[in-house]
Amino acid sequence: MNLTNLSYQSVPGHYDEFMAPDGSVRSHWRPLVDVLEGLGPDELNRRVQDSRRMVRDNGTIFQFQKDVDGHRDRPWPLDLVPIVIDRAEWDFLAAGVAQRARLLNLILADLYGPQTLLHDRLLPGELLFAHPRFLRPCSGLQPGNGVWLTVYAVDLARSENGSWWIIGDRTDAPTGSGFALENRLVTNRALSEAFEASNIRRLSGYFRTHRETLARAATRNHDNPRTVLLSPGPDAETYFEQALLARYLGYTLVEGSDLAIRNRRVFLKTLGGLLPVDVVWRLQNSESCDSLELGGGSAGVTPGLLDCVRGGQVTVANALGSGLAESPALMAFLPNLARRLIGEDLRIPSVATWWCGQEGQCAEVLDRIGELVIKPTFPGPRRERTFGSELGTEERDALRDAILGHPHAYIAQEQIPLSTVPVGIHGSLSPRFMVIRAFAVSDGQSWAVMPGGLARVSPSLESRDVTVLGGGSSKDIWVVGETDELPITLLPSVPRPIGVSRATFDLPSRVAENLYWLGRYAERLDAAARLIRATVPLLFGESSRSSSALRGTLGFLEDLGYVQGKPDGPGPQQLEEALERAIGMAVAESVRKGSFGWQILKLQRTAHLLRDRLSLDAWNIVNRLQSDYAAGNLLTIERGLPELLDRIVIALTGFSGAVGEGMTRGDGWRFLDIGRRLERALQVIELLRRGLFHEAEDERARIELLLVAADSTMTYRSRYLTSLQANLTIDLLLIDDANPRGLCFQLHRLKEHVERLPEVDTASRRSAESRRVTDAIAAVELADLGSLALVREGRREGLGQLLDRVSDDLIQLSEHLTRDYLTHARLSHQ
Amino acid sequence: MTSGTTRENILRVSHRTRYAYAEPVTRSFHRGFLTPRTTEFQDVHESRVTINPPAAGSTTHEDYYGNRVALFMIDAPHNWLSVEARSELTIRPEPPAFSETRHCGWNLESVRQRVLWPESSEDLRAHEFCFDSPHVFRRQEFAEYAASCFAEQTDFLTGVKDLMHRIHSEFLYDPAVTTISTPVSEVFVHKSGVCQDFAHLMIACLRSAGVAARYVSGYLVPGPNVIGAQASHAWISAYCPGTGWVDFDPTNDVLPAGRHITVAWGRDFSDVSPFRGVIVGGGEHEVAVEVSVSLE
Repeated sequence: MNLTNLSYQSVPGHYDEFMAPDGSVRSHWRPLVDVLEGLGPDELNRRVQDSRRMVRDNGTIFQFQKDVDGHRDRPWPLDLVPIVIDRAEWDFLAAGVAQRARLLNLILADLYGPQTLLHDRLLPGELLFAHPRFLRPCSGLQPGNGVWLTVYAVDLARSENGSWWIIGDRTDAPTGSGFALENRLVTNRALSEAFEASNIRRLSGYFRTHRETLARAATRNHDNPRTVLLSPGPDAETYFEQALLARYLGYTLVEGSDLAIRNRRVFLKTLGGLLPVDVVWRLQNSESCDSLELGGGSAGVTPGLLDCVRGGQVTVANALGSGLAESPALMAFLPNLARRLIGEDLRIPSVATWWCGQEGQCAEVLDRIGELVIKPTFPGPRRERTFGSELGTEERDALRDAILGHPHAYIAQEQIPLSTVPVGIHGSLSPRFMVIRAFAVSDGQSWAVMPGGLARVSPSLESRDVTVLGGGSSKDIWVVGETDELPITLLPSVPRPIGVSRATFDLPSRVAENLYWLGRYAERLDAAARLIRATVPLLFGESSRSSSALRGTLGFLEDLGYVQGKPDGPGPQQLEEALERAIGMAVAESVRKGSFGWQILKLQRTAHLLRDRLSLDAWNIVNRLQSDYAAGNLLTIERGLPELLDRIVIALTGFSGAVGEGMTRGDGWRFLDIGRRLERALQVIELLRRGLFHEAEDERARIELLLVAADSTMTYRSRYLTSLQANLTIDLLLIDDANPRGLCFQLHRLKEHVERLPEVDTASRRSAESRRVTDAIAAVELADLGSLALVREGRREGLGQLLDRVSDDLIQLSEHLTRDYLTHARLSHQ
Repeated sequence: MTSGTTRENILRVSHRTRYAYAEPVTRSFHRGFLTPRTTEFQDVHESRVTINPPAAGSTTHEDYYGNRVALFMIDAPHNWLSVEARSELTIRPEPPAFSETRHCGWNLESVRQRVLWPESSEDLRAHEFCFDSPHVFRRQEFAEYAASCFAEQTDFLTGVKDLMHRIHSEFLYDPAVTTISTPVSEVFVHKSGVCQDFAHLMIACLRSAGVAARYVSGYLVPGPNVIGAQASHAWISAYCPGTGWVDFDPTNDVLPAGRHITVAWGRDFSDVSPFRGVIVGGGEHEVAVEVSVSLE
């Protein structure tokens, strides 16, 4: 394959990163191209598929705005062919990025301090005073580490003559470094030959600096500061990268509700109590960080955080209020500000920017509106913009009028003809427009720039929108050239795909609560799937079933709430039809609370909340479960439905294995298992109560179903070698402590768990949780099988009473757990 | 008692706020501007804030505008919250800089130019109060409403006083019509509201005309024909180069002198709301505010 001649053509009027004007491949791309050519189109295509699978298996997703159904996750778009940048050129860019970080940091320090830039008329006052992101409560504060911009990101574009321009600054809570890391991990693996051949600079040094910088940023507890990564939560577009960064850098990923503020100090709410936090790396905007002083938001968003900063007790990075420097209007004044503040000219210019609030500038903008990009002076969260070139005459006039009406509200920028890079499509290469995002982290003295970054490319040559929301894709950036670095990795050498990667005493209560519910939902769904599946053979049995067996089954399902409506008649045919309907409805129903589909949705949602805690296998199982179920809506009992039920039961078994076996035996696992055991116990109670409390006409059908649903048929047959009897079933499911599906077994496991939980109340020897479980065990163990099985006036009163007592104990247990460990109500009494 | 201040001059202010919650509040965080600031015209001798149930953490600091802010948190379940701020202060007997006979020598346009192109650091600080803020937006209609008070030769402060008078005479004081979140544009249409609405409207008119105006929060010494002495009061301050900031009270159509106690100022109510909080739990709540000012 000859990539150069056959498959790739540069675009006139645009600089091409890959191909020189004479049609030859630029020399620093040569090693990569040699490898790609060596692979050939088929193999390259296979590598592309590999990379997509890796992204999917890693669960790397970018989340779009929530729609009515909940969430819209899309696989993170990664184009396998990296961008190659020569080391000398990169050094130039890195110096420019570091210079700009230094400058913007000084600007923030001045505007939140003495405001000399306004007094000296280097910046119009309006750009500060009217800026909604000028957070006055942050004024006069010194960031704990003395730096406003601990982390900085910048968007760079290259124009047709090959020169670079800065087109955007991210100063508040810059995103993308985690996606850059993910792109590197995947690209490196899928194109390992090329990676080794190309002498590429590593990213790990950047992240090490990041970790060291934040460790030094603590104002107290210098030896062993606790750092948390503050996230807006799983609904954020970039939650995946936040989870990845937390894992990679060893920070606890928290949401605002995981933090407690007491006496101007920040604490992490954990199962073991409150643990002091020294450094907060926030990946949510400043305005969402303190609902008391910084406006907006609910009680969940750490009211009082700013006062902790004011008291010098915690360092928040980036410093609260740093979003001010993202204003594009600032770019119009930056050259003068650079000369004043650092005595230098900008190494990389900003894209030409006019603020219409200045009279001469406004006239020029109105004149050239067709070739400019118009943006609000103070951009909103969506960073709206209008391309003058895309407007019709009327729209253009309307925009002119709008600008004339409120000139101060608009800025205009030159539209840079973006450079092009090759993307791999169907084994060949095609050009797309690109913008690169570079990252810098303060090392205390200056800013270290990541040797690489996140490249974003347009979906086609018709679009200049390189955002993921706009359909764009992303790439790794390879900085190639001589280097003397040693490889460093922050990841453990053996992949640690599963579970809690931090000491379990750091486990936030919220995570414990979600794990508990994950266990409960998985078990509940398992019970429902097994029960429904157990009824299917009745319709396909080799010997035709008796009407009484069908009636017994229908009656049981009705008692459990799975049947609505009566059979059309008493004959076997009508009963079979009714049963078929019941099964179809039970599986298809997805809206009603407690229904099958509802449970799958709950399971999936809870797993989503634990996205950063679950192994990839476990996550994949849940996702497949959801998509299998969604695709199974049209299945019938003859075609596919039994197989779907099989798949669900098997998937849940796999899920229990992936989650249960893969997690460290810490408090997180313990809460998950408590959830499972508690739910399984409640399910057995429900089966016994609905199945055997009232004596039924054909009890054998019920018992058989009961045993299958409780996955205890094999045990029954191996133990009793006899026909199905109510008393033996009660013994096996209730009293026998060796049956892993039985009630007694669950109670013993629960007892072991609750006795190992952190102590809540040292005053009494036994916790309330332990007392409840002990009572349930005593009730079950002291019960007399004869009186449990005894039928009087059609009812087994003894059984009913025991089940009531145990289920009451279990419900109380659940309430105690929630109160003592999960909601932190007790902390407010301290 | 120190010399120069006789007992008769001392004003005692008590500002009590009581919240009753329908359901227990687990924890709450509060910010209050409850302590009068020392200004050119008033000396604050003593201030004390009492919080019940007792606060778990309480701090005070000076905000961006130099106001005293109290932050505190209550860390035990509570069904009610009571905050009482008591202060003792003296208001200088001499009237403020502006009086009807005194002309400042500036007209609207010259003030506007100076505020737009600040020359002194005081001008620059005033510059901050020319723009939109969370409760106040500049509009053409407000600029037009103000314009009738500012003929070309009209002295600026006289014009502001006319504007105050116009608002006072054309708007009805009616506590039933507006809430804290009623926008100024709506007040402008309904022609009614309370002190806070009139202050926001007057600020909007002045800023729309291109000059600087700020919001002042405080208390009133009760007296005959005085509106707003039973609660926190609000008025405005306009900036005139050379003279400085001059207060105007559109609710009472007076130039504050001797009866207005300044607590805090900012761009609008949102910067200096006397009391705001974030609570966990609580459900519905009722609030009762009681302000008393007495002269000894």
